[in-house]
This record gives sequence, structure tokens and C-alpha cells, in this order.
Amino acid sequence: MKQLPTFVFVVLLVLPWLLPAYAVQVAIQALVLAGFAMSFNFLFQNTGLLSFGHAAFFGAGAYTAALLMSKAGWGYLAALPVALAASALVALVIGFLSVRLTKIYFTMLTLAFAQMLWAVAHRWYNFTGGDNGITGVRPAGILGTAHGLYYLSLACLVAVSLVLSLVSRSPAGYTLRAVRDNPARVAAIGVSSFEYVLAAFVLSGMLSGLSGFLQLAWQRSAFPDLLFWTTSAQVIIASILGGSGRFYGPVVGAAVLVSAQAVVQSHTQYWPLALGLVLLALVLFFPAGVAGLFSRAERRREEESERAAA
Amino acid sequence: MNRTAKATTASLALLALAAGVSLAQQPPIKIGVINVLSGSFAAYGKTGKQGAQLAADEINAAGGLLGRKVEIIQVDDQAKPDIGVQEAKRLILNEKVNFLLGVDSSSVALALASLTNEYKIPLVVTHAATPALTEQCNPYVFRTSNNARMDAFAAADLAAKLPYKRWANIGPDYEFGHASWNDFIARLKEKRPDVVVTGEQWPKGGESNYTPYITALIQGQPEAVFSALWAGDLVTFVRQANAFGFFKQIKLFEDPVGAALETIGPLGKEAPLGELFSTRYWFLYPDSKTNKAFVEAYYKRWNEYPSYNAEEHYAGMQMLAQAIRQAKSLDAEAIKKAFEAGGGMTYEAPEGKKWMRPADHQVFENLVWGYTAASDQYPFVILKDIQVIPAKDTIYPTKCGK
Amino acid sequence: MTGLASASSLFLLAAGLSLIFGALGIVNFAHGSFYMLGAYLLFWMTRGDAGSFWHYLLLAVAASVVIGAVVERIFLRPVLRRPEHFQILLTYALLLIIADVCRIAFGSDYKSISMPPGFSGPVFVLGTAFPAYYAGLVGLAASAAILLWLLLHRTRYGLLVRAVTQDREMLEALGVNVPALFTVVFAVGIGLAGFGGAVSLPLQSTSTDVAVDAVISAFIVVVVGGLGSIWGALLGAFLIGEVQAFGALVLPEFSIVFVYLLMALVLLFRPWGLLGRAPAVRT
Repeated sequence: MKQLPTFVFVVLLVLPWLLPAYAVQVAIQALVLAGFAMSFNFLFQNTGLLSFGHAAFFGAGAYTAALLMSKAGWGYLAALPVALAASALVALVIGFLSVRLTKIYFTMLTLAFAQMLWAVAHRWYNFTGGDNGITGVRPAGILGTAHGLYYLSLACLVAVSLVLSLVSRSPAGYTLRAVRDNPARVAAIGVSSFEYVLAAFVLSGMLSGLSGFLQLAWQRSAFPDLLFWTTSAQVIIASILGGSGRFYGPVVGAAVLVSAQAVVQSHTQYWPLALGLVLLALVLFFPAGVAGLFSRAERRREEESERAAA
Repeated sequence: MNRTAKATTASLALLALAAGVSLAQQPPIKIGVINVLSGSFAAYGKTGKQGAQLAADEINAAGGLLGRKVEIIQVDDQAKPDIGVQEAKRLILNEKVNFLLGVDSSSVALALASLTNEYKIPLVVTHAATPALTEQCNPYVFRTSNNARMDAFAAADLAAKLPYKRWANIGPDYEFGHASWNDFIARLKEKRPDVVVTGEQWPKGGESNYTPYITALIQGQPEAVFSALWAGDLVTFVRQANAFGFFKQIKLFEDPVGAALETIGPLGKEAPLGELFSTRYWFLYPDSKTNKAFVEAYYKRWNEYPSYNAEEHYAGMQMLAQAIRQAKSLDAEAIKKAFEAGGGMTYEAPEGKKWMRPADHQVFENLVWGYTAASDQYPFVILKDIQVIPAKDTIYPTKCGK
Repeated sequence: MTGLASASSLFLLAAGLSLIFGALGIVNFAHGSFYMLGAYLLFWMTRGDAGSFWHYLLLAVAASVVIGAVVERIFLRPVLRRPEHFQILLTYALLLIIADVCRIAFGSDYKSISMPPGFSGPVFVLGTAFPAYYAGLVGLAASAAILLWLLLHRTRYGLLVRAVTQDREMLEALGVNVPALFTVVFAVGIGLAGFGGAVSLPLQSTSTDVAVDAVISAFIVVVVGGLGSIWGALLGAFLIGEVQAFGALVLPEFSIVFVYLLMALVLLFRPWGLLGRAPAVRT
């Protein structure tokens, strides 16, 4: 099923013309979270580091663009490079301090830094608007429409996938995975694992900022919530739900999570319960995630066809 | 009767039947009511919901609006702006609502205000208090409840008459808390230049441990403390302050979100007595026919007394209904004109007269304070010795409408 | 003085978390919801009447212990040998489920209870008024700390628990029923959390948001004091309590940043916490 990604891509291309208006809005949310999850998962899969502070980069992208647009009158696309630079810078600072740690300590430190950033955004009323946020932000022209934003988000997801795919398959990617699996050996051959892991962290952070940039356009506002740890939790869940071992797993996870949330929330206020039950089932019975379900079915089909041919 | 008469009667009957059928088939006017229904402020969402529902039922019993029934669709925004935006889009695009109403959280209200222009849908806010909402001058955003600035100015006017010189503050550490205190102390100092601030405390929203703040307050030795703490925060603060004997030494002066039934209910016998509390609507005041009828109807329907959030949602729905009747249309521009017409719409709510200023769509009304007192009749403290600050004293200039 | 009172409730909350991490190696995200559950259980049993507070307190704690044991046996045991991110997801799922179950069962409004009789007024310590219940809380926390220490260092079971923190495989090789040991430790940790929640009921109104706030506070305390160390939890709770009190006096607007700053500093310079043990051999 190597044609699957292409097939899905074609479906995604025509989707806005097939779906009702609200579903397109949900689809945009799914695309934004998908890009965010892929960026997160790149770091997690290739370095084994579980960051609980990716909201910092997501929020940095959103707030930078929001500030430029509302206070300095910049256009939406013009703000994009600055938003990316800002989230990369935040990732550089946080990464420099965090990447030397491992496992749970790394996770806790990224959480602490992201919470600090949230606390600052929440209280710096004169600059970030505090919990009143920055509102009334809408891209001019076609990007301010639902279809326009959808195709921009899709294009960004494709771009992020291409970049991450290239880096994963490059020598740098192999080095990263070597560091993840056997850091002592890597050090023994004289390679500085710190630089590689930091670079991966910054790339992951910068691309997360791109998702935040898109979220701003969808929401038409930026609030400190974007920096809160629950945003970090959501991207972790999306990645693992979809299957963090597979390249497109996070995309699947994001799509499932966003759609499920939209549907369940319109019928009941007990979404946390529903999500908790799904996660429970995931961990206990389907550790390979939703994408894992597909490949199991695939493998079974292959086995059957082999047996039939024999 | 003769044949012509029979024919006429038959045709008229058929016409009436057709009209009746088409009236029944006319789609209802849909109003999306957005509240916090989960988390620590859920009690408010529940009462807001109830107030809005009561209004809808009464409007329908009286024949509906423009010959159509009114239907409300309730959603939970979880006090999160992104959820609020998502649910609002669902209401607008899927459910095809004509209006949005409610909103307890200021952040959600601001986020939704960003959508009103784009989708040309009026938003009637009945709780969220940040002054910034109406200062943004959105054409289709209307607030039928009082905001933090009016509350603070009224509080300052009343405080100026009290014999206290040394004031302190304890408020929740988000914009509402800061804005309330800043407006209050600025106005108080204008009227009473002899006032001294002994300290400001800013516990985070949802704080569970007030002891450092309580002791810091006591150390400053104020005579009175202004507080914009509300909801669970106020309950927690009062319990813990009681343990310190706080209210024996210092007077508490509560902002109009203080004496909410959602707060003094759980406090029960622990609420401090003889303190000046305010609320946006106190069900025992005024002693008018409108208010009595409302309280009775609400109690009958929901088996509890109406809190301010219930009454504000009720009043908001009724004012919107009034605008719809006046405009004879659901179009956003027509509604806007209806609210602004004749120097601004007025409405006799259960709490008293509301007037909407045309420039910024903010309603002004009398604000009520009272001293907490025990009561045999009710399981919670009631407000006695009511002090009323007239609406005209709470009006502040706006930059809108220029 | 009031720093001690804040520290006491934080300690009870965090001690269980620290214990669980030390022995099982699991970061229990659900810890905050068990804290909240303890409070709800006590409220439900006493029906809001403070007179029966002490009778039902023990019952509520016992119930927490039982619930903890059941949860560990059914949900945690299968994932103990899996990679960490599954454990985090599992405990996070439990956090969501327990919080919502409480919301369904008890509703969303604030539940609280008056101080138990005899503890409602202030006592005078060194001339300043200090709420009697807070003094009681400090006493309870101190007793719990001492009891825990005795259990861990003066009993055979405590020896096993300390051993399993260091080398799980060796203990299994020696024939100790490690899974059963884990269940007991987890249950005790949850019992502590439930105890912390229950005794906090007179002080704060409980609602379903408490779970999330509590778990973050617990993490901060445990990170600062040292994952796996009971004294670390005590020290961490004390430090955080003091930083909060200090922040409230000095820079009220940014006191929350101080706490996260302390957490970050500890992680940067002594990641295993102030009283934690540096991990043995790790690749």
C-alpha cells in the first residue's frame, strides 16, 4: 500500500468541496494538529526525548504573528518568517538548557520552561494582553476564508512532511537514531551528540511554530492557553494515538483526535471521560496506535495471500 | 347560510388552516447559548442556562417572536477560547443559529467577538465582565450585564462614604481582578485623597492555599479589604480567612460578583456577617411586581432561587427579544439599529431598569450592595440594609461611536 | 509559620507520588485525581457534616488504599515493563476518567465542609493567631512523615521497598513477589494522596479542576525535593511553601514564575532533586 499517502493526499485536495462548512473548519484544525504532531514526533522518535513543553513553540509562533499583525499592521504571510524565527529561537534557548538531560528529567524541564512562558504571557497584560489575549486577527484576502486557510494548512503539512522525511533519511537522521540507541558508542567515534540533538530540537520547535501560526488564523485570536501544558499534552496524545513508530502515525492520530473531539463535544460535556477511555484502550490493547491497526491488517492480508499462493 | 357565504367561510377556513400549517412549519429562531458547563465555574453555566431557558419558555408561551418559536441550543465552552470558537462555529455553520448569547468567560467572549463581524451574527453577552469587550466597539456585540469598570466605580463611590482610610486588595490574578482593583482605587483616591493602600495580593485563579496571602494582608493592618474574588476562589478564601479570625479584624468589601448564590450557597453558615457584599442581582430586591413574578416563576421551574447569572441571562434574552420585535427582522444590522434606537434601548428587568448606551452597546443599571446577615428563612446569608448606587454614577466615557 | 501549613498539605500530596516513582518508576499523572477523590469520598461519607469528620477520615483513606490497589492490579501491572510514554499516557487517561466520573457522580459545584469541631478557632503560637486546624494539619503531616520513615527503614517490608528502588531484577531473582510489592506500594501512595485530599476538604472547595492543579504542584515538589525520596518530598514541600509565601510578599504578580524557576534550576543543576539519589549506572 505504498500508494496510500498519495491517495490520501488527493482526497485531501478535494475534501473542502465535498464537506459541509463546519466540517471544513474541523478539517483545518486536524491539519494544524497534524503538522504539530509530526514536528513533535520527529524529535520523540529520533531521539527518544519526550518533550512536555512543545506548547512553548506552538504558542511562540502564534503570538509572534498576532503581535505583528495587531500592533504593527503586518500582513499574515509577511509575519510567517518572523514567527518561524521566533519559535526556532525559543527552541534554541530551551533546547540548549534541556537537551543535556535525559528521560523524565528532560520531560520535567521542558514542562517547567513552557509553564514559565505561559505565566509570562498570562501576566504581561500590556504586551500580550494577558488573559484577554490578542483578538480580531484575520488574514486579509483568500487566506481569511475557510478554503484558503485549508489549502494553506495542507500545503504546510506537505512541506513539513517533506522536510522531516528528508532529514530522517539523511546521515544526520541516522546519527540521531544512533545517539538514541547507543550514545556511548556515538561518543566513542567522536561525534558530538549534543549538537545533533539540539539541532533536531530546534527543527522540531520551529516547525511547531508553523502550526501555531496556522492556529492563529483559524482562531482569529491568540490566548495564553496556547502555551499551557494541556496543549503539549494534546500533541503527545495525537502522536501516540496515531502510532509514533510510523512516519504518518501522528497525522492519523491528529485526524482521529480532532474529529472524535468535535463529534463527542457536540453531544456531551464528558469528552475527557471519552478521551480517557480511548487512551486506556490504546495503551492496554493497541500500543501501535491507529496506524498500527492498519499495518497489522496489511500484514495479515499479505500472509493470507502468501498462503493462498503456496 | 347561502352558497356565497358558505364558499367564503370555507375559503377563509382553508386559508386559516394553511396559515396555521405554514406558521407551524416556520423554522424556529435559534439562539446559541454558550456557557461554562464544566470545571470550577460550572455552577454559573448551569444557572445561566436555566435563566435563558425560562425566558425562552415565556416568550414561546406568549406566541413566540415574529410568529416563530424560539429555540435555544446550549453548548459548553469549558472556559477555553479555542473550544468556544469551535463550538460557536458549529452553532453558526451546522445548527444555523441566528444569535449567540451568554458567555461567562471574558477570554471566550473576546474570542467570539472576533467572529461576529465575519459571520454577521449578533452576540449578546450576559456575564463576561472585561471592559475591553465593549471598548473594542464591535458593531454586533451587545452586553446586557454590568462590566468590571462600572462595578469598580460604583464600589468606589460607596467606599468613599465609609469611614475607612487604610485599604488593601486581594483579587484573582487575571485581567478581571487587576482591572477591577485599578479602576476602584483610582476612583476612590479621587474622592478620598486620604486613602492609603497597605498592600495588594494576587493569588492565582483556582488557588487552593490562601494562607500566605491572608497573613500578608493581616500584616499590613488595613481597615478594609476590597476583593474581586468570586466563585470557588471566594469560597476557599473565606473558609481559610475564617480560620485566621480575619473578619474579626478587617472589613471585607466585595465586588458585585461576590454575593452570588453559587458562592454564598456553599458557604452557608460560614459566610462572614456584617460585611458589605454586592451582587449584580439580589433576588429579594427590588420589591417590584416584575421581580416577584420572576422569582416565583424561576423557583417553580427550577426549585431554587435565581442567582444573578440566571437573571442576567433571562434579561439578556428578553432584551434580544425586544430588539427582534422592534426590528421585525433577524438581520444583524437591523438588530443593531433596534438596540441603538431612541437613545438606546431600555428594558424593565427583574433587577430594575436597564439602559443600553448606543455608542458601545453597554448596558447601565443600578448596582446593589448590602450587609450580610443571617436568616432563618434561607440556608444562606442574605443582604440587609441595601445600598443602591444609581446607574448614572457608574457611567464612564467610551471611545466608541466617534 | 504559615509556610509550614502550606508545606504540610503539599507534602501529603507529593509523598505518595515520590514513593510510587521510587519503587515502580512510574510518573503517576493520576495522582492529583486520587487526591481529589479522597476529598470527594470524605464529603460523600460525611454528607457535609463536620461532626463525623474523624470517623470517616479513616474510612476515606482506607477506601483510597483499596482503590489504589485495584487500579494498580488491573491497569498498571500490564504496562510496567513498557516504555515510559505508555505509562504516562495510562496515568493521564486515569486522571481524565476519575475526574469526569467524580463530575458525573457529584456534579460540578463546589463541595466543602466546615472545620471539624474543636478545630475551628485560632490557637496562639508565639503571640500570633494561627488557625487550630492548620496546626492539626502540620501535626498530621509530621506524623505521616515519621510513620513512613519508620515503615521504610525499620521494617522488613520497608527494606524490600527500598531494595526494589535500586534493583528490581535482583529482588525477583531472590524470590520476592515483586508485583505484589508494587501493588502494596502503589496502594499506600494513593492512600497518602487520598488522605491529603480528605484533610484539605475543610480548607478548600473541591471541584474537578483540583485534580489537575494538584498533580502539577505535586510534580514541582517532587522534582525539587527528589523523585523517590520521602525526606525530599518534605524538603520540597517546605521550599515551595516558603517560595510561595515569599513571592506573595515581595513580587505578588510573578510569584508563580518563581516556583517554576526553582523547578528549572533544580533540574538544571541537580536533576535528581535536592535529596534524591543520582541514578546508578545508566547508559
